[in-house]
Amino acid sequence: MPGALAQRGEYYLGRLRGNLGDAAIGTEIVAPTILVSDRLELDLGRRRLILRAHGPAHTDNDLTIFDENTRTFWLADLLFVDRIPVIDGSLVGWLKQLDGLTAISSDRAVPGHGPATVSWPAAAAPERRYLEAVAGDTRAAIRAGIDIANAYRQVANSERGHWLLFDEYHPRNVTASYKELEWE
Amino acid sequence: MGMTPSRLYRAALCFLLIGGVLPGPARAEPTEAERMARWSDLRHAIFGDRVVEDTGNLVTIDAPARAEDAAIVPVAISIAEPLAPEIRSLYLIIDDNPSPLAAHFLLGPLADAREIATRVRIDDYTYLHAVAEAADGRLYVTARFIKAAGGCSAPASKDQALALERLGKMKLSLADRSRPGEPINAKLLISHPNNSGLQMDPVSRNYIPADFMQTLNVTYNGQPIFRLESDIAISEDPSINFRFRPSDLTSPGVITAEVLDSSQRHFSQSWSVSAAAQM
Repeated sequence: MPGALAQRGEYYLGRLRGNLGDAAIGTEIVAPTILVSDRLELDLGRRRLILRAHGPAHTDNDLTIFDENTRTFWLADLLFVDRIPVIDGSLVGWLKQLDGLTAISSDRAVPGHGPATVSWPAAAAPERRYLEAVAGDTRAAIRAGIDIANAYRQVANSERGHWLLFDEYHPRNVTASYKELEWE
Repeated sequence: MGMTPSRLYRAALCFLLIGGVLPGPARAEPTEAERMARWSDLRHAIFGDRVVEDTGNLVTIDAPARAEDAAIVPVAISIAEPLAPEIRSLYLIIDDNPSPLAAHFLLGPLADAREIATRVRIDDYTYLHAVAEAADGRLYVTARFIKAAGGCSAPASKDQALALERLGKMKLSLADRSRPGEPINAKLLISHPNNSGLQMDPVSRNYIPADFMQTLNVTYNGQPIFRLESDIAISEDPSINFRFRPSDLTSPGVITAEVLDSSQRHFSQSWSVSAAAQM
């Protein structure tokens, strides 16, 4: 996480200044001081949080938090609802992570994008459907010899209409997936 | 031993950069006149006083107008049928990149110059120029503007353990030929970080030293298809699409790819091409 912030922090600040103008003055990047390499229990006093670090999926530094008291599960950007998921880590890794995550029972989940709370694991179904469609169709495009620039045109078109910002992010997702899957 | 031509170009280009336009998000968007002046400087640095002819549609660049990912921008250079057999080398220049001369393909007798493609990093909105050099020494140019930014410093792929394990491995795919006599379409993938020297190490937060493919030689039964002199602008895991005509259609052959990188590592791999794939 500190590494990812070091790499991208300037970009985030630039975007913030661009979008917020003067309201962004004083914003700085604060790197975390406690790192989670696999699993960490944080006792906040009558509230125990279980933090889990995940392998490459949405990014290479995904973290989820489970609150045992309220059985609330913060999925962060491992769960996109309504807004198209962004594949910036590993498509295959993300699908694998979803297997483990959806096996965890909770009363509610908090997605990185979407409503404040959603039901779990039901809310993961559209995301899985999108990721599986991208994986299947991108593999087919690679097999058919369709190049990386044009593959998105025939990948997961059935998903258009199910997601906000589809046309803005879907081609990039296919580019990233193509690059990952062409080595299989 | 003297400097190779490509090293000379690079020395000239570095010099140009020190005195010229430094790319980066802070500077204002250059005017069209400034872009033209930049190309004029680059043209002189690479080709000296040689005439570079604008050819209309004889040489074309195919690339997205706006890149989906500035670190993996697919670029194809096509040469029209009548000119293709004359072409001996192709230059790809990304005007506003820190190291503009991205690739120089030297085509061997088996190469078919009608289309050659790769993926590049693009640092800022820029013109791409492709220059094709014919056997008689004439130079033909085409240009294309592309909107992409940040590609040279974009972080490497996320699974670095996998990337290390795969370093130097190559993958060759041959498309089926529709008709006998047609060239074979081939796609070569090389697993290599091709670090640009402008990317940051996520752990140490220092810049990762440049480590990139410098030359790629591809042969068929020992005869050259092409040699690529490349640079930091080629994307991570270099990908090259090329066409070639096997010298002997009746017997199986062997394609060999040899890579030498800037850390003096040498990678080589061979694939047999069955006679059936050539029919």
